[in-house]
Amino acid sequence: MEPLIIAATQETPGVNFDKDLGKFLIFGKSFPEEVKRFFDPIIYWLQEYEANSNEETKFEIRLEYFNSSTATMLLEVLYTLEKIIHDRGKKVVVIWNYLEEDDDMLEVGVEYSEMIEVPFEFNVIQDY
Amino acid sequence: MNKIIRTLIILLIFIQSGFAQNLDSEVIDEIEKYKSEVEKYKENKNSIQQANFLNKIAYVFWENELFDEAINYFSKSLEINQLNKNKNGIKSLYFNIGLIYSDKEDYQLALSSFDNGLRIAQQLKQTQGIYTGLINKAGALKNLNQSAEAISVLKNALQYAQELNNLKHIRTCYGMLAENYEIENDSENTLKYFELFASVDKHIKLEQIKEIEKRSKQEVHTAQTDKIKTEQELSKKSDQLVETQQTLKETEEISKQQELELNLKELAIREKEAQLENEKLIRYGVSAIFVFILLFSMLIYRQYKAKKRVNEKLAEQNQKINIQKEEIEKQRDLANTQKTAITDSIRYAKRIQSALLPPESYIKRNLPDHFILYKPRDIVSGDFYWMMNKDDKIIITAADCTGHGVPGAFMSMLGIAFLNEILTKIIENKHVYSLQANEILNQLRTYIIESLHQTGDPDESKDGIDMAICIIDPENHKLQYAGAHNPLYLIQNNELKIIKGDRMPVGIHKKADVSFTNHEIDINENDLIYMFSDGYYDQIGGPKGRKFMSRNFQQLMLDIHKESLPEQKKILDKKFEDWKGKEIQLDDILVIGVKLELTKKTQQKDDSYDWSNKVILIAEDTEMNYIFLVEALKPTKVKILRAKDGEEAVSIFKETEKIDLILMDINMPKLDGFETTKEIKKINPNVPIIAQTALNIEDAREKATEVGCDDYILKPIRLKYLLTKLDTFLNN
Repeated sequence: MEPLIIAATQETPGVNFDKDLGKFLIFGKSFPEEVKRFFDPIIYWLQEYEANSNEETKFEIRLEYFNSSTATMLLEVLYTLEKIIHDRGKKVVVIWNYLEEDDDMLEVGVEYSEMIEVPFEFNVIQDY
Repeated sequence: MNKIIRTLIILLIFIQSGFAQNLDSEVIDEIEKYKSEVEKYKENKNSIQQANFLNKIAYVFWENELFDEAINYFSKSLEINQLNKNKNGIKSLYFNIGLIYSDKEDYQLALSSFDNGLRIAQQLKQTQGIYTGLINKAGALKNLNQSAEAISVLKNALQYAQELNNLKHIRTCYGMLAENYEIENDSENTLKYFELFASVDKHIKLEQIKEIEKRSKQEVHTAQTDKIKTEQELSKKSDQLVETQQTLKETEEISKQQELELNLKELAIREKEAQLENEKLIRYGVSAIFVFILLFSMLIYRQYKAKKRVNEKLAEQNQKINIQKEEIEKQRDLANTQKTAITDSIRYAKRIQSALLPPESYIKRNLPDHFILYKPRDIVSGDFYWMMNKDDKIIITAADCTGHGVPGAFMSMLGIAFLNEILTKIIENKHVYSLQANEILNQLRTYIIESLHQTGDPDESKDGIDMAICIIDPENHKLQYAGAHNPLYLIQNNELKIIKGDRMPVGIHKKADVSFTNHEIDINENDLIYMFSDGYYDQIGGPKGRKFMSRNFQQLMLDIHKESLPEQKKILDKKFEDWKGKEIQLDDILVIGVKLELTKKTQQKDDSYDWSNKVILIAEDTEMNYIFLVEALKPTKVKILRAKDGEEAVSIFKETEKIDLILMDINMPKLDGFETTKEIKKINPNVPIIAQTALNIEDAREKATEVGCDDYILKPIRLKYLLTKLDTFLNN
């Protein structure tokens, strides 16, 4: 599969998906004007990947901020990852990064982990 | 025995060589054929042909070296030629026979044959024939070792050769002469004739070379002419090529030009398309606003109607909206294209949204000590607050709808409308529904899921509301809280306690069938509660462009909770703006702070005015009236200054630094109330002056206003009325 590389902007996150390198990362700030327009290609890529995924997937999320519309899209992303475990029987783990002092980001991550049947690893970082 | 065998073999070979050898079958056939011809012509008495074929036979034998046979047949032919008196034929035959004899090395017989031939040639006077005969004779003589005789014959032959002017013949003579002189050992003549032979030979060879040269030159010339022809054709063709190239270039130029024109046309088209897109966008924007406004108008209409059953109203509403929607879609085509029109419309919508929010006075009446920091991101907001007072319980909520701007505002409208309905239903059906914070959220969730037809389908909208709702029961010192995501901060005894909401929104969710949690908290006087949306602490800003973060927000509230509520709002606002700096505001902001006052607030009584820090100047000449006023104002602890007439009033006013209000009697000596008012107003136009007048006519009131009186009070003065009026001016 072709890797999906999207450069981060002021309002949209950076995306770095590379099946061959086993790298899956979303980072930065996310509050795009048109949420669906931005996230549709990302979800589409992940759906293709899901059909033909690696044996093990480490999915990293390192978002500093995201608005409620993005939250909905993230849920879609996580549902797709869930499918890899349920339908394909392969391993997936989500690495949820957050600043030490950012309780809110941790809280959101915990909430997602309760909603999605994918193992979450919570990882404190010092800086973005 | 061996001797006999050897002899036999030699004999055989001898016989073999003498007699006919084994000829090729082909040759035999040829001979037989000729023989048959001879027979044929013999029969036909065609002696010429007969002789001819006899010759042919002879030649065949001669070629195959069967010399005797050849001579035989030539002789037969000779006979016929002699009979025919064919001198030429006879001569030739004699020469042939001679030659054969030479081949046989029978030189004597050859010589005589040659002589015979020569004689005939001489008879015929054939120079060529004579020469041939002589040469042949010379040859034979040489072989008979009669070289001297050969030389004289050769000299004779030379003459004939010169007569014939035949260089080859001459050469032959010279050569043979040289040979014979050599045999004679005449070295001088040998050399002479050899040199002659060589020079003639050279000459002949030169001629041959020249012939070859000439022939090759001719060929070269032909080749050259061919080459020139080809070159001409080539140059013609290259000329044509150049022409074609030229034409090609011209065509290229033309097509380049055409390309340019096409590009220009394309650009023009794209410009036009961009323009059209723009206009379309603006049209849609404005029409969306119309939908919005009309919807809002409909909701207001609902609010003010009598309370009916919820579902009927909703159904009616939907129908109306649909009809309106159809009408609007027709009107869409008439839309204006001005951008400011859109903004103006949204500002108007803001007024409607604001109208739906509980008015400040209503909140203040129930929660006198509170603040609401409300900063929509766009003109209209997805955050809203709502309050209701029922049975001495105060229900207050801070809510955050999905999204912001117009979509968020839509949800907020639904939220407000539903909350009103829910509370009405609960209150009307007290025996069925209990007034509980979580119950309100549960019902609100149901309303939202149903009205948005949410089914949990992954593709549909998951719009919902995050909110915190509190029910304050001052009498029983109890506070109920329920939250959808949004927490409650409670500051008691300088400690900040966080009560977390449930991890689900008011809307469709995995756990949408799970009831919200109801928290019951004991509260005390002067406890503070804070409810807010995440807009404040999620704002990006500061030196590193980070979120404010809830941790810092908690600290901030703890730091400022002792300030007055209005002051807290100011600080929050400033801190927010400072943190945000140049960043854009990411979301709607809503923070509600309430200081709990649990003792029942009674109606405002007379003794409840406290003007101990105020100074009133009473200008009244009548003692009784003055005493009355003093008594009336005593409970307020206000400081009173007395002027008995207008002049005194003015001078007291000039001398006193601070006078908060003047009660001005109109009928006074020296300077009446009107004039005094004028004077004082000249000095300080801002001091409130209330005229007391018994006059009950329009003129008085008019004049009072004319001279600058802020208000008037009629005598006889009613106490409560007086105080209320004074309050208005003193607490401005």
